Amino acid sequence: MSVLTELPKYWLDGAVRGLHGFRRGIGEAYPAEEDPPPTTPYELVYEGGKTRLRYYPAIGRPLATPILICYSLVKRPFILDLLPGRSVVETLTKSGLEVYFIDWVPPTQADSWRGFDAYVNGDLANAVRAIQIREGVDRVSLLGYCFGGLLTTMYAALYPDQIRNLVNFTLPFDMSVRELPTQALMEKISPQTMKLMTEVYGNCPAWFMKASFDAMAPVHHALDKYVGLYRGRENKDYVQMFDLFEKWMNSDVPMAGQIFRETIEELSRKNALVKNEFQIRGQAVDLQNITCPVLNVIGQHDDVVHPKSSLPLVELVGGEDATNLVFPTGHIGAAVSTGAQKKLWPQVGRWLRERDGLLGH
Amino acid sequence: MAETAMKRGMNEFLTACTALCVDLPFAGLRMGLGMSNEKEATEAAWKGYDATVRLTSTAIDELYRNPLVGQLAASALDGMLRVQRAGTALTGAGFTGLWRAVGLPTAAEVQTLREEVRALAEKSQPVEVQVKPRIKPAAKTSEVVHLHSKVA
Repeated sequence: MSVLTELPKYWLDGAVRGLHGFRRGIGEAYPAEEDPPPTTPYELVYEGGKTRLRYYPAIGRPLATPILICYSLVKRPFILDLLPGRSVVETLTKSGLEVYFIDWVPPTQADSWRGFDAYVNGDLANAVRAIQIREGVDRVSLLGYCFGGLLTTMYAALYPDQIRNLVNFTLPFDMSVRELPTQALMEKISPQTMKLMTEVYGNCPAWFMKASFDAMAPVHHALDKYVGLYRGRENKDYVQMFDLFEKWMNSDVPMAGQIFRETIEELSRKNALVKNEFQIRGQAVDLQNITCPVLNVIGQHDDVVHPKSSLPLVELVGGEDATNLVFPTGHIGAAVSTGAQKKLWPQVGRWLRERDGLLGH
Repeated sequence: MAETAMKRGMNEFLTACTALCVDLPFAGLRMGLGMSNEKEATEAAWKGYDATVRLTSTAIDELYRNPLVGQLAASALDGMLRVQRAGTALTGAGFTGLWRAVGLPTAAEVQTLREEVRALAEKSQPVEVQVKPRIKPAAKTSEVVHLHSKVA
């Protein structure tokens, strides 16, 4: 029977890939050169700190306000530009947006000092400034994915006069929501252990990030995805997608020690951002300062960031125009599913267009 | 919430039992008797597999929620990190002493210093200097005009 001969092959391939991911996670940062070739062509327009700023030109008549996509600090960013027809970047450029994209340079041991201050007041501020100079605009729109959404939200609260619109998707916002099973597991890890981790490694190592993600769906990662591949082996698109997706799943990068500690201590344990108690370099991150239009995209079946964790943002920002957009998809599906590319992202494009005012530069 | 999880677990257990103990043998029997084809039996087998995967996932989720399992995992991580710290400290002490004795920094120190210098150099440069200027190619402009006229 072919299931008995083929499935072990898929499994073994995957196991080798997974082990390679872990091995790399113990050593140095993930080499960005190993990213698959980009689907959408881009130009590198600014490099500084831990930021490599990409520019993807709009297709057709551009909107007046460019958008800056702030990717998460977890894994490599090619998931947002995976394949034609499965690329958030591609869909947004087709909606007439001049897209800028932060490709975070994975931190090394020397970057362990980097906290929210370095990422928000340093790198993100520099990226926004670069766009302002290049495009000759005062304001940009921000789009934050997952952890990147925390950075964009903080930035919009600290520099409200620079932001036209704020779009977040799958934002881990209210950390008091503990609906996911792995959260119960993580809760048991003491602050001392987390501190010890950054003492030993400097940063939060990539292998820990990978283990945390794999633990969210152990049966899927240990067996079910290979069975899925076996069942979908006749579908070339599925096989191609599987390969790229696996590459992404194994592209974990470390998280700088300071930002990891701040995330665990301030955001997760104290829920300081939601309580309006979070400070960056002594400055309060007051969500009431966010008066620009806010669109909060939530995956209804998100099993990485529970939907309930994202929901409260719109109630806590200062502006009137704040909307939750719940789409029937999961955490990754929001980025790569064809449904999201056909319905969700064009809708986000329309939302931005409606709030853009005049067209053209 | 525990009640809902229990109910879901029971439902999944019943679904898996039905799929594996009733549907699958029945489909096999029907195929054996020539009343159905292989496809039907295969579908029943996959249904059984899917139900088992769901049941196993739910069981693991419940395991995660068990405080004892959480405590064990946390202790294991803590222990591993402590051992690693002790190992690094011992190795570091031995080799650092050796390099120091001959008046040389360690490779790690040199690497760290190099990266710090690079980071400082990047930080001290104003953004304006590093931004690549925007050049709008003529082809793009004409393309836009063409598109506009099409719309009009």
